[in-house]
Amino acid sequence: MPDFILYVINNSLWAKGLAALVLLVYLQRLATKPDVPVLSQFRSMAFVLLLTDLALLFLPTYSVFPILQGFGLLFFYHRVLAVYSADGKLPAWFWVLSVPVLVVTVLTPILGWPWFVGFLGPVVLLGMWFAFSQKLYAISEFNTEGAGVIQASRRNLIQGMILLHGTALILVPWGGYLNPFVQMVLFPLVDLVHTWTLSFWERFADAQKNRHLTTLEKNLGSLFEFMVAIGNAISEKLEMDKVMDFVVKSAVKATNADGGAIFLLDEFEDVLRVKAVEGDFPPPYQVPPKVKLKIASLTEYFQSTPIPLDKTIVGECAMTRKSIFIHDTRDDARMSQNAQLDQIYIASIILTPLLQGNKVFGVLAVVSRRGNYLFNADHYSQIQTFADYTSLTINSLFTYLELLEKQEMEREVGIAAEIQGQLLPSKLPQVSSISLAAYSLPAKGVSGDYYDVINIRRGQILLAVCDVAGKGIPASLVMVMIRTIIHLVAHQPGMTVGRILDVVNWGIAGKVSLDRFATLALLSYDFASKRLEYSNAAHHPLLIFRAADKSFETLDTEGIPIGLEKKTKYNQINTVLQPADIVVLYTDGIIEAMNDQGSQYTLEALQKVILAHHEFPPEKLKRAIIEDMNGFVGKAKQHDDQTFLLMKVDG
Amino acid sequence: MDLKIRKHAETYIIDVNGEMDLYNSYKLKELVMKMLEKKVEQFVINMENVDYIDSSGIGALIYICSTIKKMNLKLIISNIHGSVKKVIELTKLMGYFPIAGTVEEAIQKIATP
Repeated sequence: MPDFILYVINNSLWAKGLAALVLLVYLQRLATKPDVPVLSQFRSMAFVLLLTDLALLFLPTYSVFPILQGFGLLFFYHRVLAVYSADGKLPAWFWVLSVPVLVVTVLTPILGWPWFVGFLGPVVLLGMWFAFSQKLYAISEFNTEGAGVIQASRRNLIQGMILLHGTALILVPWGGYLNPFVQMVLFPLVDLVHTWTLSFWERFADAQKNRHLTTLEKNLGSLFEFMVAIGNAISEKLEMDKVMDFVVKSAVKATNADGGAIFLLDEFEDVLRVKAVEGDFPPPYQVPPKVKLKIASLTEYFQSTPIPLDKTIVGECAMTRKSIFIHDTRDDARMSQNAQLDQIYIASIILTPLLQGNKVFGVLAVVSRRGNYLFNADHYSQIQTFADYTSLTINSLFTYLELLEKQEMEREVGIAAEIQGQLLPSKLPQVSSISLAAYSLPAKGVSGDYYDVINIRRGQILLAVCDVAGKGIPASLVMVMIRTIIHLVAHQPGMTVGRILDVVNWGIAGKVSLDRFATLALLSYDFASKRLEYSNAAHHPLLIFRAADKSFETLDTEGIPIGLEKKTKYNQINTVLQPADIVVLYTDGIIEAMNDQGSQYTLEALQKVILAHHEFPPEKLKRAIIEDMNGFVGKAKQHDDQTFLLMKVDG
Repeated sequence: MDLKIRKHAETYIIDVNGEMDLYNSYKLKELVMKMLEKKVEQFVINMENVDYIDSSGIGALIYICSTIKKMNLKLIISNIHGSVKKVIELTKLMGYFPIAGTVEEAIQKIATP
């Protein structure tokens, strides 16, 4: 039998080979698992163990392999720890120490350095394991998720490693890592320790993955419930308050919190106000000493005190637009009072901003008041998912509400159009000595314009043109009121157009909302005397075409719109008409009719058509005006009602 | 229409952007009413970026103006120009509304009783 094979068989490393075999089996098992970051680190570690063990089996005199193995394992343990905790990162001095130690170890047999250089490897490795154990022992369930597994396994791991490297250190004069006892007993032992640790951690990695899945499921479950609840709230009645209540309730339920609250941003005072509270939610900030004593006054204080944006963690959350997660209030200076006082005790808190677009409109917060129930990263991500969905829902709710409002308005406009259709005279009175024509076209289904022609008494006629601010039912009602008053008083003896305006204004002012004001122009005409009286409440001036010299004249009086001030008095202006004179009453929509270049039809254009066709009877003149105006406007959509009244003295 | 609020000392300036018409004038009204509830006492409505107003817009301004007058608080409307000015002139309301050329002028007017 060749010496080499005999050497292997007789070698003290057979135990080590067995340990390597265990590792190989372990590796095989890992290979069947899906590729998870932590598991791939485990795989690398097992490889390092196996390769260095095999190398040592065949090249037993090179102490560089145990040392290489030591550094390699440390490297991967750091990387595994880094997956769980931010402190796990490999320190910079790792390379500064490990590389020279390896070089020295390799060069020692060649350069014939003294035996005590062999101390270097174990000393450095022992030091590094001490440093690493510090990190492992710094881990608690408060700073690391799933710390339990590390806590349960760290003692065995550290003890095993200190035993190995410590013994190697003591035995340096007798071969160090190459001492048969170390090789035969310690190395296989620590290999098993590593395998045990790895499989222990691996089980946790699996469990964590599963737990993450169940959390996701739970998350989705509560989100689904929430969506259904919101859906119900919307179909019942669109109430923002109700939606807020749902949000808080669901957030509390989903995180098993003791209390939850929504704070809404006051748009112009830069403060947050408590909007909805569920369960037990003490103010998460310092409260004045007087308030602290009684629970009742504390609740009242919390509900009624606005929080400035630059104060408290609630303000901070809204201002920075970032979530705040305080796992344990004892570790956070901002919550020092909450961690100490029983009345406002908070053990753990999560706050997250509610955004509309990228604007904050509120903050959602949940608290735990049980010292043994602290929120973890799962709860945190749950609340964040929740806030995301809430923001989305509230955004679409806002949009929906706006849409509804618009629809409501349009429906109303339809009803108003119906009311209005009955207001305008269906037929103009046929009288001798004058002829009349009227035109009215609403812009968006319903008009804010109203006109009327009334036979006041024998030989006297009253013309009215009115423009009510706004549209819809309220505007139509104002129109009804104005029309009723005019019809009621116009026949009274001694009434003049100025007096009628006084009465209409007196009747309307204070009765209707101020933004329903109206402009109203009245003219009366006496057939016998050809006398025209005109009074104007902020409407367009009266336009008169004088046939005699083919000129235009405007008549106007002072006076603010109808409905603003009860005491307003309107005066009137008189003139005498001649045969073939034309009187025109019109609303904004006529002279401000716009074409698609944005220019207006203007009074001058109106005058030009009238001048060109002044010999036409009013009905024909009306068509000429409409034709000319429509020709100018083209296809541009009009956003104001167009109304005019023509009266021509028969000649 | 878009409304923005800024603050100068005790005066709140509302910058109105866009058209003031039937479909949005109520927003300005609602905002001012909300501010009145919050005990704001001095207002400037800046119309610099309003190029179109219809009677509903004028209505909203009248409503706001008279409400504030009744409460003995202060309001000035600034930067009325173009067609907005024409409409206000036409409705003979130039005297009815407290008006200033610029926001600065308005603030000064409010500050000096």
